[in-house]
This record gives sequence, structure tokens and C-alpha cells, in this order.
Amino acid sequence: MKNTDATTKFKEMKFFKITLLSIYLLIFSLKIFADTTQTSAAPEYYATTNMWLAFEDRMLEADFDMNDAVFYLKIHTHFNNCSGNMCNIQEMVVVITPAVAGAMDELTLQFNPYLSSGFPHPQYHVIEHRNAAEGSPISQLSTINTPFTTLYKGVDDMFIDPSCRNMVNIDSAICQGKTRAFTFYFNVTDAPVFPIINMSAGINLERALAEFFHLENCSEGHGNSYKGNTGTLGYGMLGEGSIVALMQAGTAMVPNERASLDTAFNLDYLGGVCDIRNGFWSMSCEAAIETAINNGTYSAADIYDLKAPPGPVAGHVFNRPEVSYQGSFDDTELESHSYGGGDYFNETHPTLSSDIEIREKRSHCNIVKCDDTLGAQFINGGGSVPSGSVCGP
Amino acid sequence: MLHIKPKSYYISLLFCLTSLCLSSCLNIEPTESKAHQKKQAPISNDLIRIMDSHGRPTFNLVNKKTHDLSDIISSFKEFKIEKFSILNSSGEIYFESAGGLPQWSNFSLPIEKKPHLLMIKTSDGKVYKKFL
Repeated sequence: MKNTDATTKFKEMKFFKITLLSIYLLIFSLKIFADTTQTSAAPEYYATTNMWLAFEDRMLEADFDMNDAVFYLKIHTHFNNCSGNMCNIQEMVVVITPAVAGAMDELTLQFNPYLSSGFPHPQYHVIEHRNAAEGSPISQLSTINTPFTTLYKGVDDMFIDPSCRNMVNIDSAICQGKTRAFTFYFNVTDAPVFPIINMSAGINLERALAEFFHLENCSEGHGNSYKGNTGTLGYGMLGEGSIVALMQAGTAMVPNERASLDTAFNLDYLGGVCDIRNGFWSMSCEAAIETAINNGTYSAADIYDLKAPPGPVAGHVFNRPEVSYQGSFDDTELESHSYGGGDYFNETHPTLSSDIEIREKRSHCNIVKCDDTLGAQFINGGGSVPSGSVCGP
Repeated sequence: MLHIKPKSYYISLLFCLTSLCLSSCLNIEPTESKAHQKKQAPISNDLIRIMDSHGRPTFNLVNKKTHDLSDIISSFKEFKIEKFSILNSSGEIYFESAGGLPQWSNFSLPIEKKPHLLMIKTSDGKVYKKFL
């Protein structure tokens, strides 16, 4: 009898233990499943970058004053589907304002996100946000099958006053640049081709995005295109004079006309290692310019300060627009957004579902602040990019 | 005891002399002064040496500092992350990772007068803040 009780008790214990083990295994499996599910949803990445881009426009007669075409850029970028540090660019919102054009040549500014001339050309959507508020047309949608998009067609297309055709804002500022806002949307076809960007620590995000902007000198027939591409004269970017300077958003200065970088920033003390007109330049010269700006040791007479305060002040100095997504004037149309980041791209609409249709609802003043005194000058947008053929890389 | 065969010695000597002669003959241009070199130096990609990834000469005047956030990111590995954001001093988002931690931990940020602010928001609504 005692033996039977013991056997029963042993069997009960065994059953209890097996049940416990099963429950434990079940919970463990569920946890693994939950963890797997959680990690499979990769994060989405967003970045907001501000910078100045300054171009030298000629190759062989370069004076290295780097003031031939200078632009202020603000770029909101949405990245995803990263493989390691290499991420796809899904979408970019680019706001651009010309600041200086110390040039006599016909210059066009282009957006070239693929950095190659391969065929077939990848397709992407460009939405130009033209008008201030609701009303037609708020924006212009184009589907681009060429590798580049023209953002400004000539210097006379860069400034509000049409008489500002060349040598603009050199020595003193008198012309306000046209601020234009664009959405570039790459998730287009069944087999979209995304620009890819390296997000690793050694990569300067500003520099990587700056590579998408190309200045073509239509008078000379060349541009600072990419190595291997051919220009209209049969050669690609060779580097002699066709150089780009990428500058900090808040502390940028460019030399006045015919003042070379080394003269304007007083780099002589370095013993000729930054004598750029004679072919001497190195990484240390970049650092020396930073030092000259930070310590005020530049040649004041040779410098044009891009740090001019924003706002419609007497003398009409160059004004930088405040760029922030404001949401729609009518909250039923678009949900309002926070300042930068993912919310910028996650707008919703009560009836529209396609990303492109929703993006077309973005007005110029949704992106560029123009609903106060300071911003009023930007209310009409930058006008449309003139149609017709342009020279290209 | 080292034995040197006279024939081998003479062959080696001959080889050395020939090499010296050839090298001096090939380098027949007189050495130029640095000042003269400067006048003659062409402005080329080789001399400027600062290129973007597609061969375009670029001056990079954006002053940046790399921040290693690996310790912070590791400490949040077990949390469900709503947003990982780096804001500049004006409150604008410089970088944001939505729906999880970023896949990398080094961030190169422009040096500004005021520091950047790192904000990590977890799904339970808690917010971690740190100036960078």
C-alpha cells in the first residue's frame, strides 16, 4: 500500500515537473519569438543638415576666390534599409538659396543624386513646392528620367531682381536669392534605385550630401562633374579650378572678388603650404581657415561674411530663410509636424493615401517659414525653374 | 671563416656601379629651388589631394567632432526604443533613429558654440537626456 502511494506521488511529481518544464519552454519560445519580431523591424533614420556650398566656376583661369556661385542649403533626408552603414535614401527635402555669384559665365546648378551616368537612368520624382499656401498649383510634380535635375538655370534665375545677372553680392550685398524648395522621392517604380549613403563615423554626412550638387559652367562647357563622366568639351571634372568648398552653416565667409583663399584667410604664415594658386594645398589649410574664422585673423578687406543677420534690414543684406516644416495652414489637410526628424516625412491626409499625392500638398510656406514679417519676403517662393533645355554634364 | 670568390666579388661590384650609373643618368634634371618649383607647379588634383568620393576636389570647412556613444547605446539594448534623437542647440533634430537604436555608435557632429543634446525616448514614455 505504501509502495503504491509512493509510486502515485512520484508520478504526480513527475507530471508536475514536466508541466512546469513545458510552461517554461513555452514562455521561453514566446520570448524568443517576440524578440525576433522586435528586432526584425529595422529603425528608420532621419537627418537635417545645414551648410553652405561655394563653387569655383572655371578650370584653367581659376583665381580660387571660391565666390563664383555660393548657395545656402538645408536638407532633410530619410534613410532606411541599411546594410551595415550603407543606407538607402528614400526621400530628400531640399531648400536652397543662392547667396553670391561672382561670375560672368552662364552657370546652372543641378541635383545629381546617382553620381553616375549609367543606363537606363534611374527614375525619381521631383516635386517643386512653388506657392505659399493652398490653391493651385501648390507644387509641380515631374518624373525625372535623366540623372540630374536643374535647380537654377543661370545666374539671372538665382536672384529675385532680374538685373542681378552677374557679379552678384560681391563686396557688398544688394541682391536677395530666390529660395526654392524641392522634394526628391526615390521610391518610384517596381524596382526603385535608391541613392546610397555611407553613415559610418568616418563619413561626413554634409560632405556626402554635398556631392549631389553639381555646378555646370555652360559658357566654358565644363563643370565640377564626377571623375569619368564627360562634359560637353569631352572631359570630365579635372579639378583645375572647378572646386567645391563645403562650409559650416553658421560661420561661413567667402573671399571677395579675385582674393584667393590663402590671401583672404591670411594663410601666408604657414610658409607657402597653402599657396593654392601655385598648386600648394593640404588638409592643414582647411584647418587654418577654420582657425582664421574662429579667431578673426582673416583679411577683413578681402572677406564677404555670409553670417549676415537674416531679415529684411536696410541695405538688403543677404537673408537666409528659416526652414522648418510648419504643417498646413489648414489642419484638416495635413497634420502639423515637429521641427525636423521623422515627423517631417510621416504626414497623413484624410483622403489621400499615396505618398506622392500627399507630398504634392506641401506648400512652399509649409517648408519655408513665411508667415511673419521676417519670412514675408519668401512668401512667393523662388518662382519656377525655367523650362527648356540646359547644358549638362 | 668567410670565403669570397674574387669572380663573384667583381660581378657584384660591377652590378652596383652599373646601377648607380643608371640611376644618376636617369635623374639628369638639375634640382630646382622651391621658389622656382612653386612657379612651375601646375594646379592639379594630385597637388590638391582633397577629393570627395567621386574625385571632385573639395574643401571641407565643416568643423566636426566624432562622439562615441557605444556605452549609452549598449545600456539601452534591452529597452524598446521609440526615438533616438540628437538635437542641435536651436532644438532642431540633427539625426533621428525612429523605432530602434541606430546600427552604429559613432556620430560625427558639427562643432557649435553650444553642445548637442542626445534624447532617447523609450516606448514606456521615459526620456533619457545627455549633452554631447
